[in-house]
Amino acid sequence: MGRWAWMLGGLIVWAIHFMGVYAIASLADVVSRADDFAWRMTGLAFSGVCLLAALAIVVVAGLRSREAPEAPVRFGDQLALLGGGLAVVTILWQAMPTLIGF
Amino acid sequence: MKSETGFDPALYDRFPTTEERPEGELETLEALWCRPRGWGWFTAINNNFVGVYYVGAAMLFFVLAGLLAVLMRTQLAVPMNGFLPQETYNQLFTVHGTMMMFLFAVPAVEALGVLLLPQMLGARDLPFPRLSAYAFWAYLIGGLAFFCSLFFGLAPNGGWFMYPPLSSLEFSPGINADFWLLGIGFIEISAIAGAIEIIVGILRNRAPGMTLDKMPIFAWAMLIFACMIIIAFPSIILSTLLLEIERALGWPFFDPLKGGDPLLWQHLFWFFGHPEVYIIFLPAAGAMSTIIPAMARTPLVGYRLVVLAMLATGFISFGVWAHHMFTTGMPTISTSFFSSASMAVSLPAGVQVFAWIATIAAGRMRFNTPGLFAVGGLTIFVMGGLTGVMVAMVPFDWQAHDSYFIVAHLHYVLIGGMVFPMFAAIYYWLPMSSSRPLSERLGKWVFWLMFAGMHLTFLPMHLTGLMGMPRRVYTYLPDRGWEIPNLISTVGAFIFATAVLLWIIDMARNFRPFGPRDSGNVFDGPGLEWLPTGLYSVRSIPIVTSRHPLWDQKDLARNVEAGRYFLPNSATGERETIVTSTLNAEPQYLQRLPKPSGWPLWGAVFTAGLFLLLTVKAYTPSIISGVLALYCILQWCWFLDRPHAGKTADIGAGIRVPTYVSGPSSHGWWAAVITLVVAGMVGALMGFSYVFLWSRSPDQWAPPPELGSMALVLAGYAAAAGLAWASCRALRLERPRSGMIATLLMVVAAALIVGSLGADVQAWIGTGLRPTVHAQGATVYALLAWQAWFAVIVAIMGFYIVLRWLAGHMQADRPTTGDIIALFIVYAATQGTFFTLLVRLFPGV
Repeated sequence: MGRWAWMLGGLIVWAIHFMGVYAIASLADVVSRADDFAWRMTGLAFSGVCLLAALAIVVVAGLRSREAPEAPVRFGDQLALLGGGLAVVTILWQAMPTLIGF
Repeated sequence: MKSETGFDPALYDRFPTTEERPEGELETLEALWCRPRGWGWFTAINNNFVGVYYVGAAMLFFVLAGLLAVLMRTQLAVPMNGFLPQETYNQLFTVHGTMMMFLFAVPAVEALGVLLLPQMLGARDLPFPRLSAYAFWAYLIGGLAFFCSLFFGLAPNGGWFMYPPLSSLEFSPGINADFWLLGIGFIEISAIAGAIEIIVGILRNRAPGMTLDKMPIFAWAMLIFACMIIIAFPSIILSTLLLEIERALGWPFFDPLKGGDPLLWQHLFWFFGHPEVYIIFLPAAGAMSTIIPAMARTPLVGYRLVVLAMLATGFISFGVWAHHMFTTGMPTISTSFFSSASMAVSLPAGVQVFAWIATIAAGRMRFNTPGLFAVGGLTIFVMGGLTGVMVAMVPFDWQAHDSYFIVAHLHYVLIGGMVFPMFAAIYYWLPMSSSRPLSERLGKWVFWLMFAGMHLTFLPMHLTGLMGMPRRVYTYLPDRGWEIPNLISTVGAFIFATAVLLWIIDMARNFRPFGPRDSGNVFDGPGLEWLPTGLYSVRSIPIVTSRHPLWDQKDLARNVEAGRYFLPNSATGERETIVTSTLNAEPQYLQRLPKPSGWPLWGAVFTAGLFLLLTVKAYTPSIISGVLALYCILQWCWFLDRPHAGKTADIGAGIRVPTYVSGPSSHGWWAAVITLVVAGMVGALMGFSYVFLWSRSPDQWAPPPELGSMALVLAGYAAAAGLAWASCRALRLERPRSGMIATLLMVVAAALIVGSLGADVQAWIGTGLRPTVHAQGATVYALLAWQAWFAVIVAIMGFYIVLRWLAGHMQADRPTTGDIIALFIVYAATQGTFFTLLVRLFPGV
């Protein structure tokens, strides 16, 4: 499971991010308003943490994929790298409504 | 290469073997995997038969649903037409959409997997052939019954997504909606069974050496597809269950007057419904990624990127469900999140499209029929994808929602993303299955008529939608500018139907029982499925060293056919296949495969009886049918978990592997865990439903029972889990009374699950909360009812394990049954604990 979790790391981070921002907005909607400033900033902070996690995966996977001697291991690292990269782009994209307004 | 399991990769060097194979080996294989006769055609379980039945049934439903579409288009050809009455039209569009989505699209790609995967992976069969047979018969019977409801005026009429309140008892008082709710819930069980088979098959039955980076792209697609089914389909099972309970028992999950909310249905339905689009698309994309390189005679450009794109599609598609709900008044920031995810999902789709285009550009594309369908599908899918980005934008969606623009968009996506690739797959792989290619001349007619018919039908619908024509109207007034585009659409539908008719003629010609059957690798495909095969799949299971073994591994076909690789014979005298490790596909053990049997067929017949009789409210016959289904399934299970006398077997070149494995290495354990993931998803979504309904009217919720009873319930669940675990340990001690002690511990654990649930129910009854009065009561009792369902299964398992002990099967050398029952009990205890904590502690004591 560890190898699978590593290969899918970036995508898992994206999934956590998506569920997180949706849950924060939904909770905000019950407690006050979904677009309340404090709640938006909470969502933004969460996006920042997820972005850092995705970036970390990109860096580690990039280093590992250059060193991996065997094709199957390299393949896993490359998938992790690509998934992390995609997560960076999509997390940034999904943080835009919070960041620049909607 | 570093080993994953302790298997020495140097052993691969022994292959291909050089010595002569003993006489009679092939004859033994042929006798074991013989063609069925008479009644045996119904009880066959081999993928070569079940796969063909499955594809055939899916295409039958495609044709039937297509006929309904032609009838609808005839009605809409001119304004104020009286060809179909309004009620019939409502039933037709509902059944058309339902059949295309539930009875054609998903089963067709699943069927393709069942048919192709064993050969593609170099396995003798998928790991649970009886499960495939059960899934197929359940699907066929359920599907035919669903379609036939049209002839009795009982077909559902609320649209394929059955929104309440329209589908509630008040506005749909007949049993039409029940046919949909129970029928679809039942058919989805079949889809989940198929998905379990596919996941375990791909991860555990690959040919030795087929590491993840050498796995066929179609297998990757099918793996992701099956995982998505496991995550998404529980949602439709739950939603249909809740709506049926509301209709039958009056529990107000969706009734806003009693604290319910119809939007809960939309969330649950679309959490399934939108990933469903990608569930359909991914296997078709996998087929495209296989067919285009074969037709262009060059490897797929960007294999890694395409794998990642498919994985990303699988993930992101679960974050887009609410884009079907932009007009429901959700908070703007939430709609923005879904809007951005809906646009983001076009990234991985785009990667795949560009990989296909690059492959076509890099090679020398052959525009034969499979090639034409692949390129045609690509073109149509891109057009549908572009309008998808348009409707992902909230302001545009507000204008286009529920108009014919959406009808055009979804048909472009589904026909380009699934129907054309499916036809490409049929034309490409049929020579492998029937040993005879389809006609090229007729095939090109089919393609061009279908391509032209498709655009003529659906391109004008963009305009009719933008001109304001709503979907699902049975007629329209003249002088609105809708006449000409509607007439063109109808002409296009008839052209499309002509193409399908020509294809049917070609198929009938292909499956004629006479004439030569020796097409071979007619398209020079690079995958293992193009090796010479019999009903036993490949003669010997090769070592894979390339992603394109038939292109890169010289003499592979000759050596495989000569039995120079793994398992050239039947090592134990029975049907069997090699189980390999998940990542590097290293041989782990030899799996016994079952012989044909009538129990899966009868199990499916009686399971169908249970659901269908429930639909017409024949409760007693329904219960009898359910009991008979249970009996068939227990009979089927009774012969599982029987070790061979020999603990190891030679699988070729002197390499010996175990013939029995238990615990997390065994394929049975994997299937059990995946089944529990399905159950866990239902549980999690029930938790979501509870929290969602609370958020709609938090001030109306009553306090839970006092905390003392909660401690009792939790202690019971904890003890049950502990005893189940202890039972597994006790059985492995190999002492004279181990079997009896293990059985006793398991029975007590099962009793504790039932007892804890009883205590919980008692406590809730004591609060005065009732399920019919308010949504809180409805959801609390729904959670308890779901847990009760598990308690019933646990009780049956307790009874079953006693039977096994009495028959002398509770032994240390066959612990798998005990392990799986323990796993189930631990799950039931965990789920019970989660439910108890949720409803007692949230929103507050």
